[in-house]
Amino acid sequence: MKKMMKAASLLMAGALTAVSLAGCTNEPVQSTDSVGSNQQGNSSANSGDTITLRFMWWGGDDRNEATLAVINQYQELHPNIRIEAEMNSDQGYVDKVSTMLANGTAPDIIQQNVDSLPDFVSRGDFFVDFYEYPDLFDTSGFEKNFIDQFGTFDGKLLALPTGMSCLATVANTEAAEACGIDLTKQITWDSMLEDGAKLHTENPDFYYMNVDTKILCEYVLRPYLRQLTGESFIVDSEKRMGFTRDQLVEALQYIKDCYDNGVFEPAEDSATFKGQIHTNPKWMDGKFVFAYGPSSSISLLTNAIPDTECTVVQMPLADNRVNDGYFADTPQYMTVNKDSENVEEAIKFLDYFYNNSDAQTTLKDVRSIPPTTTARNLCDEEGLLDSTVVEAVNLAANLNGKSDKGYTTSAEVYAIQEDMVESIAYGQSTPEEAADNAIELITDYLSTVN
Amino acid sequence: MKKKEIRIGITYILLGIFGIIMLFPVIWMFFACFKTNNEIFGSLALLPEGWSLDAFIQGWKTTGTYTYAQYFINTFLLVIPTTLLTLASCSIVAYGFARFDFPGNQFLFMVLIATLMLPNAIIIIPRYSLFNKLGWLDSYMTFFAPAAVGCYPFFVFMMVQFLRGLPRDLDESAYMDGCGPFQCFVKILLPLLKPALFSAGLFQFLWTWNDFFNTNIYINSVSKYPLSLALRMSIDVTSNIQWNQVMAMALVSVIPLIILFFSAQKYFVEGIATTGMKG
Amino acid sequence: MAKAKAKEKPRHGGWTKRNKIGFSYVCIWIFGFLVFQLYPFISSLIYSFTNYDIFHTPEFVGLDNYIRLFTKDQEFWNSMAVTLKYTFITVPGKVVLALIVALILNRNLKGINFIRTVYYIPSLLSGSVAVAILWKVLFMNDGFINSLLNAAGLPSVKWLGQPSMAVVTICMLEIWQFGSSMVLFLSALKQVPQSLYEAARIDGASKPRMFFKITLPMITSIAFFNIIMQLITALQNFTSAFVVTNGGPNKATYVLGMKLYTDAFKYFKMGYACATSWIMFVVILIITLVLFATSKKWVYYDN
Repeated sequence: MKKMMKAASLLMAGALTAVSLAGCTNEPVQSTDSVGSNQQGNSSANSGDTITLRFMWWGGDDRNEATLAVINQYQELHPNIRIEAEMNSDQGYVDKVSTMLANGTAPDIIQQNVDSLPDFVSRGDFFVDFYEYPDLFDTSGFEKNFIDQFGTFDGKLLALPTGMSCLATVANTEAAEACGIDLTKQITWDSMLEDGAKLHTENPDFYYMNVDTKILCEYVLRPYLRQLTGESFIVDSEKRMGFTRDQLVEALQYIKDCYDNGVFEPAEDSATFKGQIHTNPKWMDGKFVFAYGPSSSISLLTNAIPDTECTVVQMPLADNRVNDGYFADTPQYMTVNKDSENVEEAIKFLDYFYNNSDAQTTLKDVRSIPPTTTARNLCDEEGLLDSTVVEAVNLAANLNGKSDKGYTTSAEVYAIQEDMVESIAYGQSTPEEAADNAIELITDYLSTVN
Repeated sequence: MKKKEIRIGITYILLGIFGIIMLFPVIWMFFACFKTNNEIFGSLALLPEGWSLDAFIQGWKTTGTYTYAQYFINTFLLVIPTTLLTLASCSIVAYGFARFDFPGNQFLFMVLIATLMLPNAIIIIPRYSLFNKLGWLDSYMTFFAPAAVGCYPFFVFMMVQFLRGLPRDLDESAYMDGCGPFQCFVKILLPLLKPALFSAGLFQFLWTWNDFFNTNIYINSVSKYPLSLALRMSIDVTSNIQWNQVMAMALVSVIPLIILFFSAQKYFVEGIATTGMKG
Repeated sequence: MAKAKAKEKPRHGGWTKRNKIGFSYVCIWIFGFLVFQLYPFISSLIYSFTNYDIFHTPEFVGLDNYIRLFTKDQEFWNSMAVTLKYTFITVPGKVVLALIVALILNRNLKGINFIRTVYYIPSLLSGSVAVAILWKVLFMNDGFINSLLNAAGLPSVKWLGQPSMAVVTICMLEIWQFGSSMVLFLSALKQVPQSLYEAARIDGASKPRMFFKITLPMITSIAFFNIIMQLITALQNFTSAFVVTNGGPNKATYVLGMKLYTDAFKYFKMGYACATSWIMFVVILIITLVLFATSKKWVYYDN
């Protein structure tokens, strides 16, 4: 009893000490010791003859298996190389990568998300320029203008695109038939709202489109605005927003209408499957007609309903659009860490990964359509590519939208978009309120980037 | 008399029912290891349809490079040295506080108590930056170093309280007999301190084992992941989560704690009772 | 127990050779305290006035971070509200439940130790990812809890999807782990002198009256300590919000701990995150001081 009281009174005294300590340090002191270099060399030295490379990526089962198989092939060919596979998850992947880059503990080879790479490149000199190693890495398999557009920053090839991909609308043919949806018709924003609302009224169990609040940013909000304005969400070169308040309100109102009319499943229900919409039981039960997904991960959606035939249809295109808004892209990049102790070995492995025919036929389309002409031809000859993936990329090849990867897709701006969409989805703000708030936050963000 | 027996009987039944409710999630977790996803979701049945150990085997193997064997080894490599270092440093510091009346002892002890209240959240960023400068990130040094220098005021406090409860004559007479202070500590006080050491050790083991906030920030390489990070990774690394495997590994990851607890519950309870730890 | 007396005699014994050795033992802690606690504590305050981001040299920005937190950052206010809501549900919930169960278990029945052990198991797993994952599975839309509700003829609840319910789900996880508070109360109840009850019984006092007049006052100091430690833990919660709901839906479980983590380790706004952590610290301090100030009114001192 007494002991407890004493502890309590000591605690009190402690609290007061803490306050007084705080008081002592209140003067603004310019810290000098906080200026530190982040250059921590990787401590894993060449131990003996074995060289260990760390290779980090994320992906589903198919991608993991194929990538591990390529690693094993390479290790068999090069017994002195050991490649540690660091398979991570999509969720929190970008956070992990940015932390590791910041503190110098990054793996030698990293698969990078397209969204976040420009941000990393602008923050520091983290990645190897593949053009500096022409003897080790053969870039001839890539089409020049493809790697110029994807992976080249200021004339340096800092990242290698892992494939040719696009955003895709996957259709469940059985559900479409059951609900009388014509899959040959070009979807427009208006038709999506109209058909979706009708579908849900007639078949209350069914929904038109399987989405989550993050997908909505990339597949609806931004393309909608791009078709309206012909510009990126944020115009990086001028550091300004590519839309007006009214245009943003319109796009948000559209999302709200879709939720209100049952085009999308209510956010309360789909929240649990955020980031993994293919695990939504309604999708598995065939209660969605369409789902959005990148061409690189179409298999996630189709594998979840193995007995049903799936196809892809063109992305929504407004009749009066400035441009198509959607575009062909690369699903991810591969980068080699500049601080790696074994830069050359890492590059050699990537050369195998991209240019060796065994690797190419093993990897097939696990990262969408292969990026090199050699791999495409080879896989095509052997019939290794999934026809839905090919179809999706073909559909996107004709679209003339422009990529918006950059400030728009930096972690912070992405979060602003997501919050905006969520507050609409949950009916917590009106489109006007959400737009005003987001514009304020983005303005603020743009004022801090240099 | 009869009435009393009935009342006791009712008490037992109520305690039993409430106990089952308390433990129900854990019991459910055990059975979930043998279920398919379809049985786990949308079903009320507690018992699984089959008793295949597949989930344990597949879950243990994982789809990645490392099996749970590696994660278990990592966890032990992280937790055991951290615990031992904590015990060594905290007990000697507690000895310094409890048995020597050097000037400033009381003030320093007050500061120690004050740090009990210091939220981890406030120091995590500068610590991270400090560890970064020292090149310790992504290594277990981030846990060993604070443990080695007694940065767990809870345990120091607990052991000081315990030492104060031991008669001073014990070590003072040994001191008179020519033992040095350190010898006194090792030979006389340390054996007596055993219950407190056990309690502190158990809690430090438990906390480090369960810790997610710090490991998540400090440890980056999958090859160094302890169980907590491996589990977190398991829920989103594969495309179609086999929940029975996740549940199986979650269960396996806490089994050592449960065994430890049942074999040493006396010390747990004592530890909480004497210092009011959050447990 | 009553060793406090010993300390009141001489203030200290001077720098004898023996005391110097003793001091050297304490120096281990002093070193640790300075390097791993005081230095981070002070630098955190200093960083909070800078735009520190780990990549560049920090620049002094005055009160900007704090001004932004208070005037611009709606997310901060949301996080503050969520954290306080979480704290004010879990702390009383946990303490009251722990007290009730301790009262029931505070009797000499056969096998009572085993029952106590069982009640403690959830606390054993507190903060572990395993339990957070379990919670997520149990409370999913078609998870076991909803199946149970349906079987009882009740409609499903969107535990994780509906913003107002998500906080409740997380709180339940926390309250479920009341075991350590319970053990504390049990030890306090054991120390209440039986003579008091006997005297009351002779006076013909009823059971509820005995509880309010004897038991409750005698354990207030433990309750007080319990509440303070639980408060500090609850205000810093991170793991359950991160693993079970990842801060969502619509930021309904985006506690301060998560905001801090995201700002610091995702956006690298470390200076800003330090400012947030200092506000968190001040909130903890204020609540603690208020409790201390009012403690004279409700905490019973037995000396």
